Amino acid sequence: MISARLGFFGQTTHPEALNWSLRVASNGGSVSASTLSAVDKLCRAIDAAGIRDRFFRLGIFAGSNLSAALVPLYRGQSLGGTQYGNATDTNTNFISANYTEQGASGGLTSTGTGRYLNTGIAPSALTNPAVGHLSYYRSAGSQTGTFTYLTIGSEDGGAYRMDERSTGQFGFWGTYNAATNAVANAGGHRIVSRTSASLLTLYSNGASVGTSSTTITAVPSSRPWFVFTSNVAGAPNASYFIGTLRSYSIGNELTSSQAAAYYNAIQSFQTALGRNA
Amino acid sequence: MMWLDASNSMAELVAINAAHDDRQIMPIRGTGGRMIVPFDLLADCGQGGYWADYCEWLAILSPTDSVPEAVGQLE
Repeated sequence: MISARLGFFGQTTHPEALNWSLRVASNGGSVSASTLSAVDKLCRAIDAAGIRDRFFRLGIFAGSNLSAALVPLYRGQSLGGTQYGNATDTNTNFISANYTEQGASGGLTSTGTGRYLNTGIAPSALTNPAVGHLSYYRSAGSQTGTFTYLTIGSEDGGAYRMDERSTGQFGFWGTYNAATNAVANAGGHRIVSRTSASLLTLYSNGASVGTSSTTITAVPSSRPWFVFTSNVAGAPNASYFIGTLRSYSIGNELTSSQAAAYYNAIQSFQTALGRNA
Repeated sequence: MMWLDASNSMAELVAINAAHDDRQIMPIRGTGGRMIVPFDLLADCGQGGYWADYCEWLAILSPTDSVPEAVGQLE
């Protein structure tokens, strides 16, 4: 079946989309023609924007089942270069019913405590961990009261983390100085990007919504990033994210124009899967 | 959300987890000092299920009234 698919799409499908679909198949999943087309367009949009080398890891939570969803699209700055982290996100406690590929409930959903993913890649593995970015795409939430949910994080000395709190969105890179945006429960794409020791920017749907100009010295953590919580000195923080995530990424710093281009690319991808916020 | 009590079966779990690179069941600390795992893992451990390799282990666990000890609040 795979060879037939390759034969059919081989001339037109982006090599990284094809490579992803093969890794999905070897992990026990499959990829529909429509999803492969959406991934192909995502890869092409990222290439066209000139931001492919910004990514060390891009998880897209797509494919036929949970095993497919945990296969990252990117594991390094290029397909042929060094690959980082786990070949698939290591799943802790998620079940098949927590994943739906398409539609309004599409994505990977955590309904309670104890579920998270281990990417296997740590800040200290990056070429220059003094700068970089994290991102995720989430569905809208409806949480009330006081809450703090960690969507992605690595902490050990320094903090490389993103939060969704009742008081708004928080992004950290290098230390516990945050860029923030006082909006809770909003669906969409969040990026935190540190471009220098004195500029940390939080983006929501491609637009800057908060900055921190505190000058810091980043302390690289050697703990692999967890998704749906933060890895604090080797253990998951109890503030697990409750909600649906539809993608995440880890990598080099993004400028404002690059953040906007990334949003446009990932938004088109989520729209193609009928799960855009 | 319902939970299963894994407090007395941790050694077996360590062995099963060690045989898997891509997945693990990790209990969390529950009230009363219990170690608990989500009940709904049972729904995914039938033949061909995602957690099929864990089915025998899950089947010996008992439902518990214990709930997660605390959800962290950073604010």
